[in-house]
Amino acid sequence: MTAADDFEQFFDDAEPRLRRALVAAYGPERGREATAEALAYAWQHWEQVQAMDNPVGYLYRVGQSRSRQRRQPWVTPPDDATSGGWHEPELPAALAALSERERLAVVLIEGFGWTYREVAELVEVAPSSIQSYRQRGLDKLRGALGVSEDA
Amino acid sequence: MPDLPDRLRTLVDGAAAPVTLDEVRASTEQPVGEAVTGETGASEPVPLDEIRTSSAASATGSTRRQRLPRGRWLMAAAVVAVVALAGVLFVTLADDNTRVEVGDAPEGADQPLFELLELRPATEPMGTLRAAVTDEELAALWDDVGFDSAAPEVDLGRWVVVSITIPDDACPPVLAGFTRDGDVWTPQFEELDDTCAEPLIPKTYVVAIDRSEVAPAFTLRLPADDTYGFDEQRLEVEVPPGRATANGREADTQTGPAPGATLAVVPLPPRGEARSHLLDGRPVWVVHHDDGSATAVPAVLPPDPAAVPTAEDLDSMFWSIVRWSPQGAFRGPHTWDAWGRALTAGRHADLTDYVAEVDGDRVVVRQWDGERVPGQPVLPSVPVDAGLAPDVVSSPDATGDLPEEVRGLPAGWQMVGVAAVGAEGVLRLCVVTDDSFPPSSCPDDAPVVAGAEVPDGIMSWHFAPLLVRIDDGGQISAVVPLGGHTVSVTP
Repeated sequence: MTAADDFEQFFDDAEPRLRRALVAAYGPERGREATAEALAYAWQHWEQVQAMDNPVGYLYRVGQSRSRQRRQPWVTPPDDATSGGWHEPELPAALAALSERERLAVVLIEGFGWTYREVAELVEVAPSSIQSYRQRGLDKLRGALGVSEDA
Repeated sequence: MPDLPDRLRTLVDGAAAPVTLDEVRASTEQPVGEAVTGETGASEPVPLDEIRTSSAASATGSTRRQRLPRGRWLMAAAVVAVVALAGVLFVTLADDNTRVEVGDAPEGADQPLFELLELRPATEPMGTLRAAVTDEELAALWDDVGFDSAAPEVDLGRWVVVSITIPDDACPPVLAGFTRDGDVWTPQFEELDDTCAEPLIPKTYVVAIDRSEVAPAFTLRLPADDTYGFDEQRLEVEVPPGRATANGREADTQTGPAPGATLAVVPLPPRGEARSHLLDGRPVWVVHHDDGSATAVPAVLPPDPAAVPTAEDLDSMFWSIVRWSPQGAFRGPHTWDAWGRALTAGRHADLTDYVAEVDGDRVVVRQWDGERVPGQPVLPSVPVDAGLAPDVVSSPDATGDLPEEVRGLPAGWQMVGVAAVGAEGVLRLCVVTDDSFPPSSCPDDAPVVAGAEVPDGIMSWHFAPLLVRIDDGGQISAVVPLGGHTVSVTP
């Protein structure tokens, strides 16, 4: 298997994880762009990246550091992107009101089934912190959406 | 919100289309295969158009703010302290064309040359230089570099403040000194650990320089960096006369350690090694240096009492563990040398709680309210991360069977980052994982966390550095929580 094949295999696994994490943190436009930049970095530094223990976490920080150059607010997606089966149009706004880490924890754990440890490794904080971010994020979402804790 | 997962997936995946492999390939200049095989020569650097753009924008003075990383509170709190202490750094001046280095103070030189006031991830373009010689300029500099805290109170009669923003990774180098070529000052940075593999995270150093050494004018210079797309930067600074310094300066305020009450007498470790002990309810490292002297430093650092945790800053609630590196350094929120002198932060972050005196084969540890550790910071051998005790450890399940990393720690008091689980009125130490979260209660034979009260009928999880006493047989005989937070629910 060539290095290009290895990268392609890695790409298939890493792209959705990176994109979801960076979109959750920074919004669709900036998050997707950061994902592309991070993966481009990985391609050009594949020899180093493939030897890493946590390449996705590393590339998350690559995307993060690049996107810092042009920081902008988390942007809610257009209606047409979320309208399919969407009965709570206020959810994007409620998500946007969360802190970056709260949003990251809620989206990745609740939406995509990541574990606390996976999110913690991504942003290099303790899993317990992620648990707290998730809980606070969910509490805020419930408050914003007028949903009871039992729901 | 039972359908929240579906909605989140729809929201995120529907709002941002997948990045394609072709897109990535098209955005780069060199295929990975060539870069790896070397068939076309050395790998090209990553395109850095954005960074060049940012650098070019430096003249505009535009800044962006960003959230600070864990450990911010310690730096921020220390900024104020450093100002009051800013007269006692022993890095000294030298003749023109001479490199001034930490640890290279000429005999008789007792005046500080510079003081690192702050070191943070940058929010402004790499290659940006700024200077302040008045209070107004300092306030503007502080705002321009994007720090969201108040500017420190610096005696600008004695100091000139400059900021230097450089390309870097996640492991900041030490500002080891300046070279002087006439009136041109060029900062010299030294990496502590060349194994730090991290992406680009530029850093801003805010430094106070002895005003008497740069008056009436000097040029701050930063060499060009082709990789990151900025040319040589030069900032000419006019320095009006300030208060008398150098030879005319009032006596140095450094008076050395002031031994206070004896806290403990502990065995002297072998030379070059450190041992942890429990003093006054807190763990302390005692180091026996190769020259026969000893140092005692705290093994945990409390949260900043002035810090107000925010939703994004929960970590500021936690105590920090200070670990001993066999390479001769302490690692925690910062890096310190074996004497507790800060290497990756200003000297305000020195570990100055205790003073140790060797008495035969014992070490007397006394309370010390000193302002900083005497002497020059000593750069340790690299890498300093090798051999550190584990930070956060875990085991497969909430079984109370402590992980090997903990059982393998030397006998004595140790800090571990495991979770404690409380149930039926007792908080016990057993390790949980995310996969099993929320965990069930710990087994009855799991170690009990001392002093923790858990009401009956409440399930609690405590997250914090925990102080554990490990017996010679590797068993934990006591557990003491030192901080952190507890989450409780009714089962």
